[in-house]
Amino acid sequence: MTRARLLQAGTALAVLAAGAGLVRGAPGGGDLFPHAVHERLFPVCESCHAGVFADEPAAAFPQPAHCRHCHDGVRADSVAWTGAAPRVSNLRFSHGQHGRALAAAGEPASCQACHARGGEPARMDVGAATAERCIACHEHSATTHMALPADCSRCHLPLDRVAELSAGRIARFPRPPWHEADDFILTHATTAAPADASCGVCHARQTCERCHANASALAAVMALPQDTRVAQLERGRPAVYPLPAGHAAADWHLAHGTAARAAVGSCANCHTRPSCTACHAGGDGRALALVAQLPPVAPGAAPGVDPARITRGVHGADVRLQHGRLAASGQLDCAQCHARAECSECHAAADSRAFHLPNFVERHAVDVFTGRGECQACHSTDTFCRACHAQAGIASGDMKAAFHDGQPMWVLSHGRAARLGLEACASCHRQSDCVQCHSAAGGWGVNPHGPGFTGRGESRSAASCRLCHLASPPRGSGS
Amino acid sequence: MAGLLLPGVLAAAPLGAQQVRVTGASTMRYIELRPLARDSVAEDQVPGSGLLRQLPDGRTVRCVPGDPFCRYSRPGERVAAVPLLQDLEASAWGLGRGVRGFAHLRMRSALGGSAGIWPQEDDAVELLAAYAELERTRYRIRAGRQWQVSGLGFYNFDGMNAGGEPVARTWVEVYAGRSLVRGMNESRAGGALEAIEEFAPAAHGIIAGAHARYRPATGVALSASYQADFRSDGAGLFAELAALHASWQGGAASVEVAVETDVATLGLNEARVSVHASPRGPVALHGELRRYRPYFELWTIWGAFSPVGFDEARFGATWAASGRRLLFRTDLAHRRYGDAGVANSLDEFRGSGWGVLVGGTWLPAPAWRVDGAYRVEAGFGAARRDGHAGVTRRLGTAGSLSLQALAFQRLYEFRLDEGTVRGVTAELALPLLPRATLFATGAAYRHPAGRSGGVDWNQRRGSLRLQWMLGSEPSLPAWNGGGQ
Repeated sequence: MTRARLLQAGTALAVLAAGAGLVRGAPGGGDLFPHAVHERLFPVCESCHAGVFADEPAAAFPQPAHCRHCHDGVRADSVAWTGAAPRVSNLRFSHGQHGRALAAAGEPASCQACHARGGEPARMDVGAATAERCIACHEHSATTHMALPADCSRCHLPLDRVAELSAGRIARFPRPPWHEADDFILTHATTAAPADASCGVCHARQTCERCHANASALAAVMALPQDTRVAQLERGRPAVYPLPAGHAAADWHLAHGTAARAAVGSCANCHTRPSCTACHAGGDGRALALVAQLPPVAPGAAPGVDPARITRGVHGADVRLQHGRLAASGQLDCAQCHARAECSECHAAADSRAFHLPNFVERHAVDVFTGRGECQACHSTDTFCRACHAQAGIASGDMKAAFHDGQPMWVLSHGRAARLGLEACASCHRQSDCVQCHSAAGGWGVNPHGPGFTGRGESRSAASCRLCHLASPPRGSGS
Repeated sequence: MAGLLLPGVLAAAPLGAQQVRVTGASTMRYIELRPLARDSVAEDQVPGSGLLRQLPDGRTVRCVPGDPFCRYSRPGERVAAVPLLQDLEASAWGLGRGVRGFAHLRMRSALGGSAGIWPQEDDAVELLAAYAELERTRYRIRAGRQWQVSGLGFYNFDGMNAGGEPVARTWVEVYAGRSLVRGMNESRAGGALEAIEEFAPAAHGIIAGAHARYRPATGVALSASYQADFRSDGAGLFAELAALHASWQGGAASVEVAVETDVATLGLNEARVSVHASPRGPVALHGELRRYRPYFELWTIWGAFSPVGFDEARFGATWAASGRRLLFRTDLAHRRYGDAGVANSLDEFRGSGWGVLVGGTWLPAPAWRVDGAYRVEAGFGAARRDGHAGVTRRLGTAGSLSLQALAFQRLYEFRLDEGTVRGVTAELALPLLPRATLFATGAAYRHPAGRSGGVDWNQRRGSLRLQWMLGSEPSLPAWNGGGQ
């Protein structure tokens, strides 16, 4: 950069300071002074801003009395100018330093170099200096002012060093265009990482804590100071958790476990423990270990992704009947999501409300008959059912009564029905009911074995064979 | 073993565990029943002749030649019972890295009413589970009363289970111990079977099995299970089973294949192929082919009666509209029963069966849910129609009030028609505390056309259930209020 350009830049920034409220601190902000109207009155900028390059704030702007020389209400309307307010800026800038640098380079400082509003410098046609004017001379790592990979902190002070800035001023900071990208929230950590000091120019720790429940575990977040003004701005703003592309996959519920085990820290950026426990209610040790690595929900902290967004229909509508195979195949690890109490409530017949339909006791017969209920998955139908049927008076005990009254010749026709629905038979009848007739050793000697009966299985449990093929079944002694 | 473990677990948990979670459920029911009673009438007072005759009042009686009385069943006196059920479940961890204790205890009692009409009412204390567990990243060991869930079903036993991940995506576990009667949590040689079965075995069961799962890729899972249950007296087997399962799930579709066999008899208990598809749009489809054969443990004689099953084809569809606020579903099934091999049967039964279900759910507002379904099933010797409609209002985040009306025609199971039962039920879920919820249900059934010789279903039922949980993070939620 040439000395002349340095001078021009310095001058421009001086005019910027004079013309823009940000620098000169004009009450109300903005360029309140109509420089063009006064073009002929003031031949040089220093007429009013003599102290700019001398770093003398008192002389950087004219005193109100100077204005009243003309604006006394007689010669000209009076003005309400009461003097320049103290300068409040987060710029790493000093007119004096720039002026001295330009002087050392042998180049005169020119206000118009930075503050001219047109393309060509014109005296008194000035306005606020733009950042583009700065980076026209100063080295900047990005093509435009707020583009990546700009290092904001090179020209701007972090918030904690500009305590004079109000929360309102901070709220009006311009938003960099790359913050508007659709995937900004999902990628801001990686894109901001090379210039994380830049974040501190506009943001404080509370900015991150609004969404990141794990903020205390993130070095980049903890590197940011806390700021009460930012806390004020963030208060009440909802946390935002966009859906990563991978999470939208139809089989994400199958794949997310592997991803979580690989980098649970990434999950913790958005998720708190309820994100897991909304589904993973099983208390399985491995799941618990992973869940414990996520931040809990704490008062005042980020809530994490709403669990209601996460829970989804992993199972089909007929899960009551399908879950056995899902469990068997290992496609889904049941214990990862379901508490064991959920199993035992049904499978141990404590209270069937979670599995069987309401009024199931009254309506269960058809499920047994069609084999749809898969009762045998949980119950020994020939014992569990009979215990209840006996107490209800349905099960046998007296075969003389007319229970099967739909078929007059039931005794002669029951064989086929028995083969087709033996589970139903066994849910009421004791074995001894059948052995009365179907025994080779007594009774009527009616052979109950069907075609293709090999006796292979029974031979591996000879005790059951002896029930019929010995004269005296050893009752209660190993049968 | 389990009995010894339970006090240890419960006592040690609050003392030494860093964290313990205790859940409880106290349930009180009111039940009315009219158990069937056997009765008789003098044979000379019964008109007609033959084995089955009808009295003037419509009762069907059975008159066995030579018996001076004709016998029949009739509804007995109305009895009521108030069974009480208390479940306690404790899970304690932090006793050491990966060490956990778990116990599930159930206690039963009754308040007045008629004793003995509710199952297991006399089983005052039942220990469903009590085990100690050591779980590390690659393996897990459990000892005590526990249950094994696999493609073979749900089996309780007292013993050991050791599982591990020898290589990535693979889980293998082996287990052994004393087997328990399924659903009853008692040894086969205990009194539970003797009370209902004259030929109850005197031997305990020794169960041993292995289960392996392999997930070669996301969405693909394979598993194999083998389990044998030996008689402790060395007289053979109670059961020997094996199962193979495979499933694939890829985005909008899934396929499942399952085979379960009785190794002892080399019989096929069940084979099934299921396909689910949810293509883009509001319709989801599922289909299934299934072969089913009843299975009985080898200590019974039932298997020697050569039971036959059926082959079934099932197809269903679900249609969602209005952002899933309106959901219709339908399910069609056709079954073909096997040949019973009985040539001399005097009655001709159906050789096939079918079933139809149509239902729907409507969510008119976030807090409201309306649902209903109608189902017809017909089999070789039975049929039933069943319909219900209900409305549920969500109360807050965890509460709800549900009203339902239903009607069903009883399965007749080779009996004369028993008429239609109509009923209304109400269910209330009311969170009392963040971790305590009260559930209340009430039901009344009307059986106007019940015949005099059948089961009388006129009855009222009710229940109160308080569920609670004590524990701290990272403990997990207790019951979710049940239901799917």
